[in-house]
Amino acid sequence: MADIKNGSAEMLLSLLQKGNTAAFDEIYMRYGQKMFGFFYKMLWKNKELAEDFTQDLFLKLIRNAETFDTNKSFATWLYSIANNMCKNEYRKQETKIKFQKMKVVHINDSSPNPDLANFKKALHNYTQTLNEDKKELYVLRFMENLTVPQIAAILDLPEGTVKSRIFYLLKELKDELKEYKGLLTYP
Amino acid sequence: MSMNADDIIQQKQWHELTPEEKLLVAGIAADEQEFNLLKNMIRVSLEENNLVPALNPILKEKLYSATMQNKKTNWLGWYAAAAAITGLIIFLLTTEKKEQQNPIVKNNPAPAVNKIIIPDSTANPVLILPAPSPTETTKQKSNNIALIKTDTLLQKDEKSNITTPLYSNVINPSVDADSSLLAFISEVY
Repeated sequence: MADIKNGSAEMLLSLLQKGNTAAFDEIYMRYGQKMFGFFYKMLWKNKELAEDFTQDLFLKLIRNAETFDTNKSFATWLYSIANNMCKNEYRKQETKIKFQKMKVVHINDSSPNPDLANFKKALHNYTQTLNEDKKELYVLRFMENLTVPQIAAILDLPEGTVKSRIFYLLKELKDELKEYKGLLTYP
Repeated sequence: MSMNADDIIQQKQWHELTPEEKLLVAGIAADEQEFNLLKNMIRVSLEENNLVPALNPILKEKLYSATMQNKKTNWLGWYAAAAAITGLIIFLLTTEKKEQQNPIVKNNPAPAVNKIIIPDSTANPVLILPAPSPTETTKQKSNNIALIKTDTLLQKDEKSNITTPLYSNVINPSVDADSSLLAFISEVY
């Protein structure tokens, strides 16, 4: 059991392949909430959809553990599968996306600063309208806080391309939210 | 290690920036206000992680049972494969035994099939005949020879330069010792 707690993801996967439930527990503990969070942010903050996707992702993992590409890190591999699932969903539900874009989003914000609350809402609304490529980059870099090399591996892009896309995304966000320029940096 | 523009924005304050870092972020943040706007944007984005609800615990139960099922399926697969291989081995052994016990097979083992390729001076037509079996009768031999003759005559009609040693090459291996057959051949020829 101690081995499983400290075991590498590769080791856990090989145990999972053999139906080891302790290995499943460990993988789920490490990545369950994290991947659910990713799906939640990518799939329009739809909890049910994010749960379905998390379930599908782990079922894929259980059934196809042997397809793990050992050249990638486990987390990167998991994110690439999850990201591809989201992309497929975007394509499948193009009309739904349009609907989601039009939806008024209510963010529960307890901030006493109305400017900050408005800023959060504006940022949230704008990021929901980002196209597929920009949204995955935004979520991976600024929400999941992954590094450029990690994102490059997940998206299968050169690091330079990722850096340049991040640069242009920041520029776009800054231009879009320029009315909040006077907002003080909050701690 | 050099930092990316967004790393600098995340980790530093405007007044802490070196001239090189200011140059690096200049493309997206020309002044302190723009710099702070991006800093706020990154912070708000990171904070959204706190707004992610907790994963439903029922999901874990479902996946847990899927893991158990996968384990069972794995074993079932192995059992099925082992049963199939055992069945195949038993089938092959039984069939072979039956064949060996068959009196026809027992008394008349199948002769080895030899083929004689007749060299041809014209190089084009190649005649392939089965080698006579040890129990071949004279009549069978003569039939073979007649067949050779017909074929060869046909070839001769087409290509008049065909040579006679062709027959001796064909017949030699089995006919040498049979003088009556040799006489018969000469007569037919």
